[in-house]
Amino acid sequence: MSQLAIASGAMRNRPALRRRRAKSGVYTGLLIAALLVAVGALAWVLVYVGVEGFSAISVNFLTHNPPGDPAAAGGGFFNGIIGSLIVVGIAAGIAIPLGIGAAVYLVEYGKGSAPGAIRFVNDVLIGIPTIVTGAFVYAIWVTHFGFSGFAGSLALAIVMLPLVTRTTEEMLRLVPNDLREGSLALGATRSQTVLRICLPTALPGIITGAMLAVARAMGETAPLLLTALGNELFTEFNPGRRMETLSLQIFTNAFTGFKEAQSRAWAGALTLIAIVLILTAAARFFGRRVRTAGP
Amino acid sequence: MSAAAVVNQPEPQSDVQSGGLAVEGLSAWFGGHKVVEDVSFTAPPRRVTALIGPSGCGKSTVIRCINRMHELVPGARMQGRVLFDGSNIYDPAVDAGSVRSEIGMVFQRPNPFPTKSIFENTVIGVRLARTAGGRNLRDIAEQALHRAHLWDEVKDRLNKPAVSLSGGQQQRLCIARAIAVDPALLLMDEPCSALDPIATFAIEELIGEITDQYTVVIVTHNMQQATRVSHHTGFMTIEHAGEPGKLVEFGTTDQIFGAPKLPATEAYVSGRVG
Repeated sequence: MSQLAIASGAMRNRPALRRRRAKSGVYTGLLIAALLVAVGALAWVLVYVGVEGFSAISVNFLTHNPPGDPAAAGGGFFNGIIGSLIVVGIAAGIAIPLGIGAAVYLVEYGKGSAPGAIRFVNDVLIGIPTIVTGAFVYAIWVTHFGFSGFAGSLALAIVMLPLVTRTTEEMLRLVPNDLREGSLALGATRSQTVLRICLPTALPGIITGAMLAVARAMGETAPLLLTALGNELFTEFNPGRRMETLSLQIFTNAFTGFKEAQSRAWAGALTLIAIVLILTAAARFFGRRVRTAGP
Repeated sequence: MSAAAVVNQPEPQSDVQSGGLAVEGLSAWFGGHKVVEDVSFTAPPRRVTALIGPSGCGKSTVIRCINRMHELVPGARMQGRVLFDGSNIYDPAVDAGSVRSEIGMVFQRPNPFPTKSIFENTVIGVRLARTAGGRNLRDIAEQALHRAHLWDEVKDRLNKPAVSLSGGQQQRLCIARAIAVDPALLLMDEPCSALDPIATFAIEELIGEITDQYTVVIVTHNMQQATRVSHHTGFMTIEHAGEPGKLVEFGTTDQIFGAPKLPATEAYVSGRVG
């Protein structure tokens, strides 16, 4: 039977056509529903945090430390903002270069079975619960040197490292091999090709991946409980000592049961989201500048 | 088939003139699969030598062995000698990078670097190899873009991204990029197969002009192109599926197309097969 005959046969078979259309409609509806639920949940979180946070946030909140009495109104999370920036900053300083280096090895240099094994270990690392990472750093670092912001940075670096490695690896794999060959055919060495061609081409994706890891680290609380510990009452700039972070402060304030502390926690949550957004936008902006820099 | 069966094969010689190329007994593998067997030919200096033949006959592999690009593919290896200016580029003392800056390559698909401007694309080879030797990069770029017939089209937007150019312009930019390093030999791997006839014409025209300075080896499966641009032609083919490709006839382009000696060549150039 020719294709035309099949087509006209199907057209004459009205009930079959109706069934097919109904099926298509049902599945399309299900997909749209799934999309609405996914986007709706995210929007709900953002709107809820926004509403609760905006009613509690103020300049005072961003520039003052919490009051000694958690039931008292006013005060803010200045010490936590500073602590988060320092702890996550150090973690990013450790994890981003190491992760990019590991990914460059995997994509550009790895031979034989080593890359596969490393990739597997990396995927396992991504899946490790972060409280376990905190316990690990507690055992190997805190038991010797005590609680400190730096111990928190180590824990966060371990959380970030596999994420940075994975996204950088994927971005480098997207760089067309034509470009590597084009560079090598000009007499460039492999390292020149990586530094001048592959990494700049993959840069926007690498930055996005690194910022996702930073955002993840900013919100991590569990690994910090056992490492940075927290520091409710004063601002600590020295990462060698125990430090407050925004995530820890949101956790402890939300936990108290006092309305005043809870509204501080909402303001802290909004601050956290704002910091992540600002850092991501800034990184993208500078990434674009670097990428398209002229002669 | 042994090398002796190749019709019109000039005796391979080690003392070719400056800029000349001699390929001697070249075989190449991808893993355990032999793709090219016992290819020998010489490409005279400042002339265009074309390799023609059906798809998959190993033409590209042969020219990728001439600037040591073949070995970059994992599992790839080769055997035989490639003499350029009389010295073997596979000598253990020879650095592959310096071979590649002496023997440039233009690829099948235009591959300008997307993060770089037109200017940066033109001079990047010079920057990487540090061969400017005090010459002004801007002069080098202008000269190379002139030779590639691109200067008039891009002179007012040198700082624009290279990917803003059309496909044909991008390919001419890639030729300028290769010329800027000042190689003695230029390999072209089906440089026009992704381009329209007008862009193709522009590139064929410039190939004709650059032979005052450069030796060119071009792979093409477009026979008209071979007759238009080349002085010498080699015909490669595979006798049976799965066998390695061989160079079965080599001669002047006029002879290969006008009076081929082998029935296989005759069948291919007359369009009866392939």
